[in-house]
Amino acid sequence: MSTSQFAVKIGPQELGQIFTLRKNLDLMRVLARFAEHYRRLGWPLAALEAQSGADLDIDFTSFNKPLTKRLMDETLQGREVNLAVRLGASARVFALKIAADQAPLQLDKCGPWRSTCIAALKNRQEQHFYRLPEAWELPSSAPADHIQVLGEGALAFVPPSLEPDTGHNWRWLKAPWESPPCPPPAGLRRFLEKHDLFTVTQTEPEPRLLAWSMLFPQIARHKDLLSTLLAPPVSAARYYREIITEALKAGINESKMLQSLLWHAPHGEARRSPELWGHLVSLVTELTRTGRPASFQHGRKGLGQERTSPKPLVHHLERLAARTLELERQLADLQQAPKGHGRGRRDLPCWKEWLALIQRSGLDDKDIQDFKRELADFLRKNPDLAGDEKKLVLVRYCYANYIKIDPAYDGLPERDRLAGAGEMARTFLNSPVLKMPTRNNPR
Amino acid sequence: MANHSNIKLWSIGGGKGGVGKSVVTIGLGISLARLGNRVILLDGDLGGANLHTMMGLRFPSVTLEDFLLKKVPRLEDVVLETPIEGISIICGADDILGAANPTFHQKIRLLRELEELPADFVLIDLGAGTSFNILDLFNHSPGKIAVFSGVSTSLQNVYGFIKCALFRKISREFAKDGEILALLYEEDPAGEDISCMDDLVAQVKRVAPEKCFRLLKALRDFEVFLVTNMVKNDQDFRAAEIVQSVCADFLNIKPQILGHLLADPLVEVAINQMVPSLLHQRDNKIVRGLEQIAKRMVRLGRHSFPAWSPEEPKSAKSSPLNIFKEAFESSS
Repeated sequence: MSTSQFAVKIGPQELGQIFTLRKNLDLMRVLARFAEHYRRLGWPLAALEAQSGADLDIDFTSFNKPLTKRLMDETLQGREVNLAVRLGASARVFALKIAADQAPLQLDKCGPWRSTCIAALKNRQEQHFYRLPEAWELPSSAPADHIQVLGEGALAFVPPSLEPDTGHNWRWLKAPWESPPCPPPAGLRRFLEKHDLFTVTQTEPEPRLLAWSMLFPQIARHKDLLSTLLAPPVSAARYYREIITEALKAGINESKMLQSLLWHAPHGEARRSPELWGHLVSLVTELTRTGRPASFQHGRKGLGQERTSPKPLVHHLERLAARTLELERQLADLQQAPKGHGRGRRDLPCWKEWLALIQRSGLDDKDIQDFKRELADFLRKNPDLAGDEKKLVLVRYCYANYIKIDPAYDGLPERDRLAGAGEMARTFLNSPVLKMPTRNNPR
Repeated sequence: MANHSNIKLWSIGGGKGGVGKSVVTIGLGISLARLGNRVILLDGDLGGANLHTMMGLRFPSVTLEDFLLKKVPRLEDVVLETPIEGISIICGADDILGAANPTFHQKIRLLRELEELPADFVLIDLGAGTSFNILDLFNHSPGKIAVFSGVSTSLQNVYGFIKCALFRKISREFAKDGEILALLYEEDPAGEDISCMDDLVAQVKRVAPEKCFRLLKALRDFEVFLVTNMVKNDQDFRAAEIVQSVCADFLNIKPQILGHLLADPLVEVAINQMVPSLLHQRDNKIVRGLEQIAKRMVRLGRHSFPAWSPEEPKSAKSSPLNIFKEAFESSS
């Protein structure tokens, strides 16, 4: 053989083993760091061989040998290690494993279900982790296509473990040490009840929500409460606190009503933040159970630190509100334009937005022109509202979210409906919680 | 089985440039010297010698070139003292055409005289790559050190280097045996891939069982020591076990871990300043690693270390130098 034929090749298996082992060493270090996080949360852990699922019998509670070293020992033996948490009563956590692009269609029908603690896979699988309520007994099951409930005794892979079926690594969208698992939301409860998936061993309050169309008639006569709902919030904490305060003052102290108010609050973030919603539910539950004013502490970010009685503050704010109202009326008198001058010669402000509000099937040009005329008339009669873009936004908001859906206004002329929206907006503007910029107090 | 009570000749290789072979060579030399040994460093990077630069010798008066070109009669005549007590150096030849490819006779002369040098330890700093010169120097040394870092590519390179060295050794063992060489470098004529050494042993057992013993002996006698350099974390520290694992699975050999050296920015300063004495500092973490390795090398030197079987006839044909001679005759 000639020299040129003495070629030594490194085969793909050799290379693969080198790179895989090296990569796994890095992964084990990361795994050990994550394991430490889970350990601090009190989650019972198991180390599983990635392909076979065999338990590697690593004791995470033992400190005889550093965890990194133990995990690296396993991986250098050729084993790929995954981390799993044993769900159920020991962890006080259960999980919902779903196909993220298909399962929500089924779950959304039942109401809010998303968790504050979510892990995801690249192929759009998600695991939602929830706090297991004390009274619940929840076995593992697969109640519907693309949905798996991981309950008592089930093992859920946690990041950065590899999902054996797909070869992808789990990663946290919302990690439990930053966003703890919330109690099961109302929609998830309904879903689980619908499939007879859990039993409750003791009575607990039922957190169902009322639809807004059912809730509004019950609160419509409470002007202060409405004002509070409509007022742009200074802060989320204050907003929710004042809603609850006004609701209690109005005699609304039933859990379902209070929760429904908080859910539907127009300026609230609860619908977009399961973590916040979970906290509000806990607040209301405690409030209705103990009868004491709610404490608004929420983990590291409190909803509010103030614990003073609202009564003196309310009196002070009412005095300010009265003064504000007087100033607003004076301003309106000054701003009122003489007859014949005014907006008739100019385009109606935000006409396109108004037009979008009144769009419906069967609406013709005559209807549009009639509405436009009524709107122009309304603006002429209410120069205090017409002269401020923000106030007009509020009028439009009241029209869209209250007047339009209120059965009491069905069939009434647009003149009356617009007047109702204006009155509602003015009520809100005169609310003691609102600080609107005025000529004398620009902001 | 012949015993060598002292392993005098150590080669430091690894395949890839920049993993720290020269630094490790110098560092080990200093540590061995501080243990009371006489040490000679030899720059075996025949085409790119720079060991003397790192030792602070900018313009050596004599180099290996002088020996290869027979300007001096003995290899000992090109040994130079260094500023560091107990350490001498044979500077490489980096300024002559063809020095990277010495002739067969030059290499034979070199290898013979290496064993005669007046030192307790001779450390050969091999160049990068896997040329026959490098592999032959590596295989000729009873002490074989492969240096690498913890990154994947370095692991790949050091494994490739070890595999090349092993195959070179086996090919020299069966230099005139076309049948075995064909199995080693080509596919099995029966059409089966030989993906690991176990497969090769099985095939040799099948086609020429009388030669299997020689093959297994060659594998057993091939002892490599691993040194992980520039260790920055736990993963780097454990990287040598990856090399052990792959060598065991595919080459049927088990390299031993000699030690590891922590990453230290002081090394770069020492190289740039051409002041290896910076490595002398006792509170330096890299020196602690070098000392540990040096002590292990001394301990290894006191135990038996098989180079070849005493049962084989000690004919001219079986001595290392003549095996080398045959190798070059067959490859030229």
